[in-house]
Amino acid sequence: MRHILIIDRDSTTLNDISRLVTALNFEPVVLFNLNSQNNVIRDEVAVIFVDIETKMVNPKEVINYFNSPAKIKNNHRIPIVFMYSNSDSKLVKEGRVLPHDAELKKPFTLEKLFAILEKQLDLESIEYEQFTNEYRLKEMKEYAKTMEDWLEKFGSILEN
Amino acid sequence: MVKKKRLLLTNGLLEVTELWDGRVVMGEIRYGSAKKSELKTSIHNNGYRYGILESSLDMLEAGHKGQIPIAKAQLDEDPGRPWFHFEDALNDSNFNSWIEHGNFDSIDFTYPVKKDERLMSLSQRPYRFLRFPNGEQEFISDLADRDISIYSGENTYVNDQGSAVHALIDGHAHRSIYGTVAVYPLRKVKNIGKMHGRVEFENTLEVEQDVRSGSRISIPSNLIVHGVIRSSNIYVAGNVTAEFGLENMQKLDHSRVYAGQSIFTNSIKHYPVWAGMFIMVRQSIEHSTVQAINSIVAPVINSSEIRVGTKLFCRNIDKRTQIYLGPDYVVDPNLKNIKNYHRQHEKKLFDAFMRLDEKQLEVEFTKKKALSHLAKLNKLSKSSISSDVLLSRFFVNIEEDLQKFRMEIEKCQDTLLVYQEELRQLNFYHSHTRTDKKPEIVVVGKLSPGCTIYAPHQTLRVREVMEHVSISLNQSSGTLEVKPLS
Repeated sequence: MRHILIIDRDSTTLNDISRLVTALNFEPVVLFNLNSQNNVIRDEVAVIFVDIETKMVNPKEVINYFNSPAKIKNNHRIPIVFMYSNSDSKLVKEGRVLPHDAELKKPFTLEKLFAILEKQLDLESIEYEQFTNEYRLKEMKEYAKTMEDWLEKFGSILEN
Repeated sequence: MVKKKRLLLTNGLLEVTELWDGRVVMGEIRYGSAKKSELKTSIHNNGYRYGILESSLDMLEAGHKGQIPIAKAQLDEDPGRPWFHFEDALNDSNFNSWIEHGNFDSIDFTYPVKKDERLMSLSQRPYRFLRFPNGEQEFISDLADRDISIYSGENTYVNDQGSAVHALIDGHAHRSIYGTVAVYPLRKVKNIGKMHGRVEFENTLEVEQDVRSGSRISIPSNLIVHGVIRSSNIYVAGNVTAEFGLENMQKLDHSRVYAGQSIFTNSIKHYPVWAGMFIMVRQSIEHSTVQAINSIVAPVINSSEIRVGTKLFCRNIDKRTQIYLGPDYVVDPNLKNIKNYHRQHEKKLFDAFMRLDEKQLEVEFTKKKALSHLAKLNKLSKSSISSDVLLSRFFVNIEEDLQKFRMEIEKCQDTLLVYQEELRQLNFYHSHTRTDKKPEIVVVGKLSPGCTIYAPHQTLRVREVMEHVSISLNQSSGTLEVKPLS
């Protein structure tokens, strides 16, 4: 899990989050709408930041897409952080009712952002080994192996 | 816990915040402005020396408002401590005894070895650590299973236990400045001259008489000359022994001696010489430019330019000799090329991982489409599903994508191996050039007026005779300390 997903179009927010997560050795991935979801592999996502004030995405759809019961394996939910700037706005009030793990009011300092990331990513127990090239390559090999097994099963459907 | 520091700049204030126990350091210009060089010096002086994010300093210089990460902890590897068995005689106690007694008879830089002789093993295991911006290290993992074949060069093999490198043949051993051990068979010749053209044997070369003026020798092993090396261009990856000296009396431009390891000779006259380890001279260095990454021993030095990384031992230094002291002044001429290659491979590796990510996405995308199509066919009979043309196409596509993905993994693995080997070589080079030993000049006789000693932040011009002195370099301040010898 190396990706931090950011769904927003405010360049300051995107830059701030991107810089900090890069310094923490994670990789920022920016989405402007859920149509580009194919560029994301769910298992690779560690945290999702979503702006609930923009109309570019519906926060409910984001939650359903990433954390629907069908997609949750081994009880692993992806933490979702809601971002907003005007707490009185109708969209924010509606959004806050939805299940989420943290809130971040704009504008924010990187220290505040770090405090959220520290909690959601559980930085204290993080294994630095996962940021090594060998680990990444090992993960890719494991993925290829899993896919080969899956393909074998898929092939057996066609043979029957 | 968040730790903050306020650093005063010439025209502003930089606030530094440490996050995650110092693993990430943020910077913010609270007021005023500053050049990148000033920011860099300021954070450097406050102890943040590693993992500096140059692009962030550029942004602060350009007037970025708010906090920005300026340094971060980085994963690094300690290559372990290799022990080169054939160099056992080259230890500190023998070295000090040679210096003390002025007797170099027992020095032998030719390193003859027998087949199956153990050449190298690790006396300390390699490990991975996290280097904090302030230089602190946190142990991450043991790399005991790291393959030591990267130390194994020509005509050597790694034993079955994977714990040591042994010689495959009888011959002469040497190690390169980047840590690779190799053995080459001996080849004897009477002499070498200009008429022989470029001499490029894959051997240790023993010359019974002289290497005459105008010769060109480039060999991957040791060179043993029982006479004199005169005005020639010598490139040797291992050690050079020239019993009667190195002389460039014709002062030919192309004449120079490069030895990847050590040089042992009688005298050096008018010759540019570079050595990756030691230079031991029985009599004198005169009118020469001599550089050694580790130590130089010479009783008399006259009118020469000396660059030495760690120690210079001598009796007398005369006639406007210039000495540059410290590891910053002696760099392997090939280091720049190796670093460039390493950077290219780093980029290649980054691209390889990007391509792997892309291929993984392609496989996942096709898999999703196949699954959604399969869901549509769910209500049909088994035979209809198995004969579905679209489903077969998906199968073929995923198979092809997966094959490409596998190929990318192999390419990535190859690049990673090259990258790791270069990294190990560079780490080895740095651990051997940046030792804990304090750079020092030991003069047991006279240091004459007119000589100059250069340090990174001080130049010492000798105006009166100094006798029996030790001049050492304080590496943190870059200045010189002069003390009488005890």
